[in-house]
Amino acid sequence: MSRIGLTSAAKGELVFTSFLFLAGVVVITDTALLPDMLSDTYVSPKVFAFTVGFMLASLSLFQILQIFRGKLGTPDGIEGGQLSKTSNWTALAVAIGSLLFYVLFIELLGFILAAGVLFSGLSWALGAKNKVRMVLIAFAFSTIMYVAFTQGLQLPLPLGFDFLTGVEPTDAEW
Amino acid sequence: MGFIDGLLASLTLTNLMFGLVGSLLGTLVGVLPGIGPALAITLLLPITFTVEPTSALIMFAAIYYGAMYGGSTTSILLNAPGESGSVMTTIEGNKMARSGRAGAALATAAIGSFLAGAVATGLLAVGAPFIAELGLRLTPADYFALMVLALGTISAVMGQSVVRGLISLSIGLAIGFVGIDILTGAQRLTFGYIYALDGISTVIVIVSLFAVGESLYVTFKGRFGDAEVIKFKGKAWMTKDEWSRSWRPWARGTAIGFPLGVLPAGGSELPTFLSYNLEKRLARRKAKSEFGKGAIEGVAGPEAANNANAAGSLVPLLALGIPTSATAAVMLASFDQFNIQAGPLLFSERPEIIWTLIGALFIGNFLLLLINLPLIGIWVKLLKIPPYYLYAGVLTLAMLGAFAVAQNTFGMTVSLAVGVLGLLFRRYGYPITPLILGVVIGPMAELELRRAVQIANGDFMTLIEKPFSVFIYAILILGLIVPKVWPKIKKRIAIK
Repeated sequence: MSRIGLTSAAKGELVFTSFLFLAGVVVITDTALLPDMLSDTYVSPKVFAFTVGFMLASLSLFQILQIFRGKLGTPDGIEGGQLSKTSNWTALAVAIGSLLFYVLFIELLGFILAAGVLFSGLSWALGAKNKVRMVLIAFAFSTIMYVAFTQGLQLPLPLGFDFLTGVEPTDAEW
Repeated sequence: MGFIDGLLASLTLTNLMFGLVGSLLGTLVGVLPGIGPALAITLLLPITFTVEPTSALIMFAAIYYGAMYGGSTTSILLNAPGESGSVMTTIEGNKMARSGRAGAALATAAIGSFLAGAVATGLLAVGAPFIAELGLRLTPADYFALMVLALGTISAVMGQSVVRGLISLSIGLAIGFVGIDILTGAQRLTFGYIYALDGISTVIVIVSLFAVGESLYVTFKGRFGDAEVIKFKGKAWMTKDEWSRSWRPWARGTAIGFPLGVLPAGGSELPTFLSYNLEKRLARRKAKSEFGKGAIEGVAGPEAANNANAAGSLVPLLALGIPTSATAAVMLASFDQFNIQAGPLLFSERPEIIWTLIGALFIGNFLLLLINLPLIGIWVKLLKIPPYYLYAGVLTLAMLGAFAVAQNTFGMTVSLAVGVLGLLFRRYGYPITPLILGVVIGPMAELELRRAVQIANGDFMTLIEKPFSVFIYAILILGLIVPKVWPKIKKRIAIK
């Protein structure tokens, strides 16, 4: 069983390291496609970018070879808890889902609602037991944050629901 | 303006208040898992729009110091280091607590932190102007060499291997040059996005790597049982015997921690490790038999090293404008917000900021001793908050910060993407700090490189022309070799 676990971890690391290698290739191509600038500087913006691109690509290639030699990275420890042997995909999906909800809906539905959902989503993903209390704490927290930042620190946060008043949100799409 | 004036200037009510708030917040983030000083300061960066520079910097420095205090509390009572610098404290500290000596462990940690912090801040006050003086005489080529040294050694020391550190660094450097190049107007890695032209904000990268990355990693791989907090009643204080066993480790810890903070050793892991092992080697008689079962020397040394290290890392930050730890990198970002240029000129142009900050560090350090010794019980109660609410709260605050900085969906999508990268880095054992320093130092290094070559009329050999730069590169090569032999040395030290 441990052998299967090992190979799946190696596969995962292989995919990730290949992605790093690809990122290096992207940096190199992007730099190569830069138009030559007429300027009086001796060091063009390409010099640094090429160096970084080649460094990233070659080192991740080396790291890919290391995986085939069986040298894998050790996962970081967990602060305030233990490292679990299994991966919790459901919890991760819930966490990323709540983050996406926050990113996509903060301007439309306002900070209080978006942050309340984010807080609830993450606590649920991390195993909060009492669901009612969790939602209450989440919305109390987001409301207090909203008031503290908009009133106390004068930092504007969206209240949301602009579509009800007919005022278009300024920057909801890109 | 000098040190005494700075001390007096920092004694205004406003500055004291910010020092107190910073000390409280610092202790808080030190105690709580999931949030450290770098993230806490990043989240507070928006206050730079409304608060005086000196007050804000005082608060940030107090957070940095405070986190080093707070981290020891969880190490001792919970067997869980709140910060990476407290890992060594856990070994003996938690054993002491289990055998009913929690009070002495907490006291030696707090008093040792205080003394080390005070001595190291004094060294900072004496040493930083001297290094700033030296910094004025350095050429762009020298600065470039220093930055390459900082990036290189940190990548080499921080990760599980040098290659992993350098990959993390490359990603950071690449993120650093996204956007329009100031000198030529070239658009690098923007892929046609208008929002990408301004580059990717350092704040977004830091917040996402720490808060989003950590939260996702914890949901994916974490498991929370009921944490066993050791009950602690009574006072955090030491007997005469414990005092006499503590002061030498404190002194040695300070002597190790401060210089390793000045040099780019990437944070407090290395100095605390060295201090712990030194104490273990030097232990005689009773202490020797106690090591592994709760020796007070094993708490006193690393805790002093930890705080002296934080003060030491302020030297290159203030005097040269080069950060050597993630927290220092964030503080540099806050200098930028105020349009203050950290570095040698700061000492001649804005001495009031430097000296008020150093004065405030002394006062903050004293406040921290008061906050941590008599009020320790309150901090312990905080540990009863379930971890899922803690992480949810930190993440929500972080995303609030991301929105405040980005103000658009593009910035927050970047934040989410960098967060997923943070998750993968943790999962596959890549260090985070080199990436952050790459984002912060990378653009500075590129600028110095261009200046240097410009001055030399396009001759790249100028980079290794002066003995100073050659000396720096020699240190770097040593720094890259040492981690290769380091595991062997580590083994040899750790055996006995």
